[in-house]
Amino acid sequence: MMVLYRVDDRLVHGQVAEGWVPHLKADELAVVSDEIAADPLRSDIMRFATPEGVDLKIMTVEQASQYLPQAETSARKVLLLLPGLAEAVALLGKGLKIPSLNIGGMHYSAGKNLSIGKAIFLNDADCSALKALAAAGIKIEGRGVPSDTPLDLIGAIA
Amino acid sequence: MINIIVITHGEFGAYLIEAAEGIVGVQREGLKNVSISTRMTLELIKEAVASAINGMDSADGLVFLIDMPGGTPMNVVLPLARDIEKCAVICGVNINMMTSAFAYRQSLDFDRLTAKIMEDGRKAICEVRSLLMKKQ
Repeated sequence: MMVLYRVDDRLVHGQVAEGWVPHLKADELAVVSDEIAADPLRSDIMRFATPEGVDLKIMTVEQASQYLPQAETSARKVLLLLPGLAEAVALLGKGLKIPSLNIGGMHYSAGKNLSIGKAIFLNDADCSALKALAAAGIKIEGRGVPSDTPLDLIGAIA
Repeated sequence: MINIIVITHGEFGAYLIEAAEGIVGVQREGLKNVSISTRMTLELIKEAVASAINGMDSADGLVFLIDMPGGTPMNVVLPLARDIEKCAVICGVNINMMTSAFAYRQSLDFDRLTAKIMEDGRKAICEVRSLLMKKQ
């Protein structure tokens, strides 16, 4: 089963390994990124950052569209990590059902001038993508770690 | 819930708490910090530690996270810890020990938590260039 769909440009890092994994008792982290899937060093670093006893799968968007429907029906608890909204939009385009999407980290770069909370910075394209995801029925929240109060991103960009 | 008291030289512990809370979330209860300054007399340090302990004794247990084995935090806390039934004084605190303590203090029992804090702290010490870049 899928226990969390998360957008976080840091992918596997402390908040995920020490915050979400124990909170959700996740068995597996599934990173969906064409870029990481093609980068052995960053894949190795991510494997190193994954807690012991937790599996890490790194896959392209194409592979994910095959894998995720099986993961949904499996007894294993899978936490999905996406580096950005583009991957969420792409998965949606491939017919994947995403009930809710946690936005954990979208860090600042030039042009991302709308900031919400400590770790979410959006440009116009991000706002359009969020609105499109929400319009597809996905419940969207901004939240770094489980104990944080969820932020209403759609309300904030409306 | 297992309570935690952090005692360190200077503001090290306060900043470590800030960093660890950024990773695993703010600890709303059962956490205290004592920062020991060179301007404090030993008497004052003992009072600060004793007052931090006050009300933190828990049936689930109390864990002290302190910095140096053999340093003032250890020397001050040990005589006080002797009279606390379920407590551990763990030296050498690093950020992995603290995030593990925060993340698992509600779900693990006292013995498992103290073992995990020490195990995760030891695992955090590694030279990653040679570990991850052998092939390059």
